[in-house]
Amino acid sequence: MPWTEDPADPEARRIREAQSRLALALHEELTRIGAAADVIDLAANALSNEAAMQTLHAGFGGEAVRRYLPPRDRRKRTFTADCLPGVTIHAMGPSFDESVITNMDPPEGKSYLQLVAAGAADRKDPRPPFPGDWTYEGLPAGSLSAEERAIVDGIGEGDESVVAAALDGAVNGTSLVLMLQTGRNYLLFPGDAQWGTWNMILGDAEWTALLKKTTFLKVGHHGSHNATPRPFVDDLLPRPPRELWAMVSTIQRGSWPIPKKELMTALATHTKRIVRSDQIPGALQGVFKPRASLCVETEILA
Amino acid sequence: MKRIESRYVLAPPARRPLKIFASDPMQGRAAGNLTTIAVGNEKLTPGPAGSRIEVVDYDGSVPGGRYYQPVDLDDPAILMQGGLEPTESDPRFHQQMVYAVAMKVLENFERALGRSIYFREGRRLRLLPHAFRGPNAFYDRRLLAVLFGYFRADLANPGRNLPGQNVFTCLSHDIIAHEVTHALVDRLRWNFLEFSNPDVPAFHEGFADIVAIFQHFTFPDILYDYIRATRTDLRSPTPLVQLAQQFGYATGRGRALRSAVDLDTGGALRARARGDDGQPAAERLYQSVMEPHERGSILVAAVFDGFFSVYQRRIADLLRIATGGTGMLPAGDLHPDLITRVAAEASRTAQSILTMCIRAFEYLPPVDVTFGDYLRALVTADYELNPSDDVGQRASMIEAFRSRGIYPEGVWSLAEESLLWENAPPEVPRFPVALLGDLSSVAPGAFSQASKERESRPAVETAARAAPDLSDLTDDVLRPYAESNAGLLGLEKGRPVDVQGFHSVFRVGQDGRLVIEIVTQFVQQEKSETLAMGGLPLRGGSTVIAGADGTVRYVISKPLSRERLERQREWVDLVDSTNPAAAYMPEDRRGERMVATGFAAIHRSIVR
Repeated sequence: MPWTEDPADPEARRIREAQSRLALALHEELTRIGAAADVIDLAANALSNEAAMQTLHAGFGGEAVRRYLPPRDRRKRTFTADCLPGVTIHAMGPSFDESVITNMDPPEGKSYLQLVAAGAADRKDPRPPFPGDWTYEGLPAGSLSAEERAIVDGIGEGDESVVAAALDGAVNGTSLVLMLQTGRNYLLFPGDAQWGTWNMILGDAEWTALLKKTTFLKVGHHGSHNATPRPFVDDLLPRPPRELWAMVSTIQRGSWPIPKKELMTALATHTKRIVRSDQIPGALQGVFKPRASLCVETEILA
Repeated sequence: MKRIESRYVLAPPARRPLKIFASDPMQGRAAGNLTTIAVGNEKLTPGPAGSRIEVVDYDGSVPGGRYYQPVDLDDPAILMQGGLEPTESDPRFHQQMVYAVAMKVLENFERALGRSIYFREGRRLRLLPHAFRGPNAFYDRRLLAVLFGYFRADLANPGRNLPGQNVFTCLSHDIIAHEVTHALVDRLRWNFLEFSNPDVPAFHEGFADIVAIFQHFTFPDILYDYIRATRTDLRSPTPLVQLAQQFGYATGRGRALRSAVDLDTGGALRARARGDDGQPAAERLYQSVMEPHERGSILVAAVFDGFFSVYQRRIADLLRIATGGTGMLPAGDLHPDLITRVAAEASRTAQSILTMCIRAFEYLPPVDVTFGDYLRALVTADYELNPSDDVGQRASMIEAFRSRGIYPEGVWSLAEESLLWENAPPEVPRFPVALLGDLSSVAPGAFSQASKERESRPAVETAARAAPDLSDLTDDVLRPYAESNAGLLGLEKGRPVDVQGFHSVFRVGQDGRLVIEIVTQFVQQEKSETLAMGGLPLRGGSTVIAGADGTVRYVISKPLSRERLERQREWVDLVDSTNPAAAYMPEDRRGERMVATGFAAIHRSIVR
């Protein structure tokens, strides 16, 4: 599990609390104002992780031994585990870098929480900004045109989607990034890691050397814009004749540009072996079904 | 003529005194916080509405909208007491305060630039003191307005505010000064609202903070108090060097919004600057901090540093006189006369630095500004007026920028002479406008004109109709001059040129001579990748500065180039990949994702 889940780490606790607080407030507020379904889902996505994490923490059946990755000590980030013989694990992220941690607790969230609290205070105790009635009846000289009023009246609209996206990015920023090495195979699982984490990985010579050997890539965050940086695809990801598998769990939804077309086109120049969950005939009918089984088999030669 | 009919008797008073909160209501009625400032006297209608600034008290947060009673500052009852008394509970005082502070900022710009500033097409800058609910305030170009929000103070951690009380951003001197500066910068450099590199939005933010902070030093009462309290060390954290205290506390931060002294007061920036590679902390900041307000505060800190060294140098003799030659202040209170003299020096230095900072505008390229360009503009502008730099103002500024890792591109060293913009080559033909001919018909500065080449901007046509002579000058003289001398003026041959600003400047130099300059901005654009870069075209351009005799003295140029295109593309990529909202932005809106119409979006994260 990522270090941000470590109950013994105070920084991790702070980040998790900030994220849940924001997720909760955002979800309540969005429901209250009747926001668009896709935005509510985005907020709910951050919430639902809680339940999943509970299971992970408690173990599916009994006491699982948990490790929080990567270790703070840079030298211990490549290791083996008894349960996976023959596999070397490289834990590349999430980063401990200050700027990455800042993104895990986005400032937009803090200001939004305050707005929500102020809004609640207003509803409980509605009062005009000034004692007494200072309203001017009619239109004063220099009044605004209808279009201008519309701009002023609309201030703050759409803030929720910005905050929802920031929260989504923050939650994804805690993604565990692993590379599993077995024989000649290098399997890269970047989770939904965002720019900050990627940036730290791409700045590390040892990690970039490993990334160049990737034989299997799980494309992060449904193939969205910011989960797979262009320098990684352009400069590090192997090209033919080297072999590469790529897998992306994705579905087009509403007006979201997911998966990102440019990314899919770029990946196609690296390999023909791209498995897309939304393009397997008969596998999915428009929506993901929990527990629906979806298997693509391939063989890994050691 | 009867004496009673003479101008001496009939002339209206030059200044209008108005009361304001020197910082904000949280400082309460503490000495110095309630102060009176004098602004230029003009006929005002209720609002108040003057010739260039107009207060419109519209509140969009109530369903259907609502106007509040406008104040009539020419009402004898109000005139008699020098403006309404400061209070949070009367919206008319709020209107008075935003008007007064905004006028003060405008006057500071005019004094430094040596010309009057009018907004485009003769419109007025509008101030909406209670536009919306929310802890924010911003300038909006579409409305040509500054919109102030109001909000409930944090319930759990309100600082010295009442939990849940209404906090008005329009009662913070700093927030007003900051936002009005945005409007003025937008007036002087139209293209700086195109965030074509990380320094552009940061420059907008930092510059606005510089104006707000240095304006503190023009209030004699608080200056006196804080010099006494800090025993002349103006870097100590006092409201003098901190911005928007009430806002900071009311939003639950437990401190002021920002400070002029970055590394000394610690905080987030300092934490970010921690490095293990031996590089000095301050230098890392410029390379790593991208958020506009934070990055802007690097600029603020550099300028403040420069100010502080000059100030120290200027008061050194006073301290020696006061201490029998040692310069070491004894324990206990300072002598009131010493405080008065030190305050006078602080105020003079601050005014001189603020003037220097604003004056530099004339020497900035018209597009794609960087902090390095700004340093060169500062040095050049000051050199032109005060060649000898007696108090070391330029040297201090250069050193302060250097210690923050801000280096201009393409200079050989940080010596003053290599920071000066290069002189224009002698083969540049004389500027085609004879000063006393064409320009004398134009009130200095009343004019800034765009050519028809410009993309759709209804403003332009209106202005052209209003002043046909000026657009003739642009079309028949200035543009042809730029196009036929494109190469020499740092422009691309064969590409249309847009004239984006043209005015004359009259200033009195150090030695009493009159410095006259004609400043013109020429801009070109390459639109082929505008859509891919989220609505940002690649712009190139030159600011051409000519002397009174038409000799071209400086050509300050950002030419269109492949390299600049590449860099702008990389920057847009970086913005895209760090913006979590980019993942969910519909395809049809991606083509305008970098377009800013104001500062609503940047300031949404004002609570950083």
